[in-house]
Amino acid sequence: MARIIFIEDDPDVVLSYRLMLENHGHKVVSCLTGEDGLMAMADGEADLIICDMALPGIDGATVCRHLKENERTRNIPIILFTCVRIKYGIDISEKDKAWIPADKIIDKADTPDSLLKAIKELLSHRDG
Amino acid sequence: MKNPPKRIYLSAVRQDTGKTTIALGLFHYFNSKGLRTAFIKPVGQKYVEVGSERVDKDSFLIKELYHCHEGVKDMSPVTVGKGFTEDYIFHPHREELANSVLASFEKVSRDKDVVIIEGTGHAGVGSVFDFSNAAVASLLQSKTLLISGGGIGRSIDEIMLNRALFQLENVDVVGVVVNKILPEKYEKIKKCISQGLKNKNLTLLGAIPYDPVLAHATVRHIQTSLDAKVLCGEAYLDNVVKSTIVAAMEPQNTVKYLADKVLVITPGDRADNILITISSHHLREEKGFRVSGIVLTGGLIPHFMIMSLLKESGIPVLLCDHDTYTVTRHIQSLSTKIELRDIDKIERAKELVEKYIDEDKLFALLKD
Repeated sequence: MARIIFIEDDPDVVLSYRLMLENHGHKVVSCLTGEDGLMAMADGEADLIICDMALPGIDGATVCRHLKENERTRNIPIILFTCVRIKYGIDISEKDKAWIPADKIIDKADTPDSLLKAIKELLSHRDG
Repeated sequence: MKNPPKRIYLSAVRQDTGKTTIALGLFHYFNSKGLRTAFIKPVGQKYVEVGSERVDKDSFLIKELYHCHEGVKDMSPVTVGKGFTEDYIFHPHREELANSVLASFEKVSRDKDVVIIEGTGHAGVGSVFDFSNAAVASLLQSKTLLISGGGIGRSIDEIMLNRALFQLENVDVVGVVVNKILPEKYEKIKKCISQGLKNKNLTLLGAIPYDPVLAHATVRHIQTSLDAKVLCGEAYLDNVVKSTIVAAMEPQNTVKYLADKVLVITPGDRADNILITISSHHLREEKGFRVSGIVLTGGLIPHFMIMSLLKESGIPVLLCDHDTYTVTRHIQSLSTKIELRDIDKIERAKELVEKYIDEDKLFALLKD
């Protein structure tokens, strides 16, 4: 079981993925904005962070950078979970590490299994 | 008995007058005439790491470019790194330096017809560690070619000051090359400086006009020099930068200063100026206008929507933690050293030297 911070502004997405993640035994704390996510991480603990890109206020890439620049949080794996390709025609990938330092980028259009697989892979580094 | 090689010591009257350009062009010329040519920079100040060794940048450039067989360490025996001067003042070791230079010179000059020896800065540079350019030229029993900037009064004044130091070391100054002459004043300056030097018993061996290709930095030079992070547009880092603009004003004012091949320096949170730069880059493309690059200052990365547009634009974008003023000042003080990947600059250097320097006369003057 892992404690996951889920930063996502769409309540429907939060609801469906929270259920799925909890069914897989994870504990989920959701935050509706990047600022809330950073606040939650300021004094909280997490094993993994899932973050949307297009958030109100600061964007997901900025959230990733803040977390990776912070000594306390830099080793926590981050999945950027986004639909910017379908919604805005923006192609982002792990080649964009210089400004999106997420450990994985998962397209929301992919099957939920992709997200579960990425979580499992990133947590295995922690457990391993 | 074999004839010893001819030796020519290239010394500038001050920094950034184009010694390496001339060394590179002369090497090419002598080579093309079938002369076995060698290069050595006895004292280097700007180095690159090659394996575990620090070697002078210019020596490395010439070695790679002309496939020299000599060891690069022998082509740059003394590298003045950080702390060298202070250390020398308290622990002088001139003889050690001299022996090292002589041993390397012996190796690189073996079986050669001509050796090009590149100095560092003006005649007096290195005096602090008893190894001025004049002293090194004397040690290597070389004749000197002085390289000056492209003026009249100031150039001749500087040339005389430098010659005096070479004379003190009994080094023969065979002639002068005046470089970077403004094209619109070329004929006037050439005529005037030629006569001015003749009045001082010096020979003008070349008058080279200012060349924009050699003068301009690339985005890669700027990135390396600033140690900036590349956010996107890595494939276009070799874009040439002709001018820079600090985009800290309102975008409608910024747009007036966006010229072709401009480098835009702007704080990373000035989305307005970043967007106007991207628009200009695309909208004026048919008119031959391109933005060469953007430097984002203050360590601020724009919103992902803007970043994705920057990425699509193909403009190389650098990120620098320093403030805009510091970055601008640094870029303006950059000297544009030729590097191996600067193919246009290398070709231009060869062309300029071949066209504007009387190499045959220079070679004849090297004979005893």
